[in-house]
Amino acid sequence: MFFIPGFVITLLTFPGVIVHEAAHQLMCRLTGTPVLNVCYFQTENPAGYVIHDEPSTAWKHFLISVAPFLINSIVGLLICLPVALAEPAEGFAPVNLLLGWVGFSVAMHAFPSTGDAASLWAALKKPNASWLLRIIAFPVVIVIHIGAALSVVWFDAIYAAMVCFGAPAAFLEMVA
Amino acid sequence: MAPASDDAEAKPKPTACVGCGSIQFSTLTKLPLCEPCRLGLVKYPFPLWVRLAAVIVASLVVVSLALSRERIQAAVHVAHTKKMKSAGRWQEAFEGYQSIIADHNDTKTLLDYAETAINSGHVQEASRAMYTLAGRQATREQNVRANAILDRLARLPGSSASQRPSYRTAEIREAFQLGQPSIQLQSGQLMPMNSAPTPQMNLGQPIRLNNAPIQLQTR
Repeated sequence: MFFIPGFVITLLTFPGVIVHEAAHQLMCRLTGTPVLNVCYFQTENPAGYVIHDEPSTAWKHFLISVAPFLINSIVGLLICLPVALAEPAEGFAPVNLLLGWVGFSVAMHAFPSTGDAASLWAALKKPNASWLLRIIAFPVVIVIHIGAALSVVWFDAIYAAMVCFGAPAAFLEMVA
Repeated sequence: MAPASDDAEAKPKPTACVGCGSIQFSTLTKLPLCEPCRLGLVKYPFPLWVRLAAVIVASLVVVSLALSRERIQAAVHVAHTKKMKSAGRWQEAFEGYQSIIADHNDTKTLLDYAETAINSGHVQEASRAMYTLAGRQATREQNVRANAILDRLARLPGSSASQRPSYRTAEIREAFQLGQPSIQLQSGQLMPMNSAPTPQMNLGQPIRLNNAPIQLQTR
């Protein structure tokens, strides 16, 4: 397994970081949660962040935490779709390279950070968190932590490949 | 470093909104904010460049969907045809490949087409497909498949064993060199892809590719 410094990956995939933070901010707005500060991109760790007030319910906290997972995955999939469906001969056409880079970058930053998981975990421990939410969100927290741990073996890139190329292939297999 | 509690004691609790100085705190937040300022933070603005980036991303999604629309139909057709081929439904697969090779006549697709054609009894189409492969770059696996198809064409009812060498499959195998990453299927004369003459073929007779032997060359 080869090692590439994190800031290089961040620089190469910066569209994904911006979409990730914008997704958090968008969900804050939709849930009526005040936002105190946003950093959409930086070369330090973390690559971006959203500081927001405590959401009024644990469900809102859950939605704010997982918003990038949903939005980045869907946007990455949609942008990469024509690349995944392209014939091998057309795969390196400039428009496909552009779409592939943006789509893959966005999907690569779909996984919430461990900071998101810690924040969600704190919300789940509060007495006002419903058992239904705990049942749903607990596995999510575990998966986020596993995803973060496996990022050293390029899990974020593997996930992006699954979203961008595996999902369309599975769809074709299903409908064919 | 002083403990956090000392800091908390050092900092007096705000008695007015940190945004506007109002003494009416919002009941919906633990932050020292009045309701108008809290609502202002709920609508924390997206900077202009982020809005522009969002427009670009949205445009890319629209472009992708437009490109995907036709590619999805084509890809579903290809996937369906491959499924028919895997399931051994040769006639359906052959019909599918006929429309596919009109747009995509790459080596792999042509080999799939030839294989499907020969299995569905369309021998002329199979031989025509093999003929158009002359001069193409091919991988070792593709070469093995090509040889297998040529062998099957040679074993068609009515062809005599003495005439089989005209297919030159034996020479192909002799020329194949293990350890080489790729090979080239090449006729004695390279032919443009779409201008290859239709071989004059009689069913039951060996296929003669204008007497041009197929040769293998490593890249």
